[in-house]
Amino acid sequence: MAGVRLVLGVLWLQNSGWKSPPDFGREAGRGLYRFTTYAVTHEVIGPFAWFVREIVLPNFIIFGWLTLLVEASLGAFLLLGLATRFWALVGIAQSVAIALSVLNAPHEWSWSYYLMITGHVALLATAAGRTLGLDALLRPVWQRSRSRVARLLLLAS
Amino acid sequence: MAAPYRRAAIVVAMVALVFGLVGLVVARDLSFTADRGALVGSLMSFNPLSAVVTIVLCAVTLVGAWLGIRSVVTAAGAGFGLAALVQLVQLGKSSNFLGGRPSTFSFFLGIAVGLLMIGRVVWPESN
Repeated sequence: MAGVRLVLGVLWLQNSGWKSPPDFGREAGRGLYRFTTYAVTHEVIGPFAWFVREIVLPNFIIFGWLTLLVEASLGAFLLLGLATRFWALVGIAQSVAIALSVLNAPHEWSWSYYLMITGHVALLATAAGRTLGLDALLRPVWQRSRSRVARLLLLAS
Repeated sequence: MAAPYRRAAIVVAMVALVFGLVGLVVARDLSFTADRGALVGSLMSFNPLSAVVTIVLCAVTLVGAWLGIRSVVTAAGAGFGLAALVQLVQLGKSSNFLGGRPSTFSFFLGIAVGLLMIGRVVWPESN
């Protein structure tokens, strides 16, 4: 599972690379903006399309930065194997959001998104940071600690 | 007892060092602070400055881990944290003197968090 965790970490690290500020493709109608509009133009489910049309697109720059920070953090933390269960949950949520945006878009292979979601579920189920990850190294320290942060990190790992 | 922490710091630093060295090679023809760095294996980009920063901070980490001085490892982690912050602020700006992309920020962030977490733990028989 450590191998799966590392592969998914590299996936997010690499894919954070094309989230290009400052406008994330809005002016040119490409990049993250184009893929986000697919949620409206190639609707998968109505409520998500409404959310993207009414909430995300009018505030797209904030959404772009949020996406960049989430995906860059997913790459960083999954590669480290730190708070892996928490970041696996974030990875599931982000993979679902991407799937709901592009599943019906042209030239998309829907199984790639199902596989992404499955990979993160596997990380969550197996607590994959406890093998060759910082979770394995630091959990004994967190278990000895009485601090609230340590208890949260135990839960997240 | 301190060995696992030292070993973890060494592993993190060695991985980063490999990327820093490869980054220096692929960016060798760029100006020292080129706005657009050269890609390392389509993952992240470095210019000579960001590659040298990575190599120097990795060297500091390795010395700290080798000698068992966790404050040195923590300082190197803070250095990577500063690099991550600078890279984040520069993304999308005309002046990007670290030459990185969002994935370079992710790389610096990971190394910073890793070293800071390892350095934060009290290493038995260390400073």
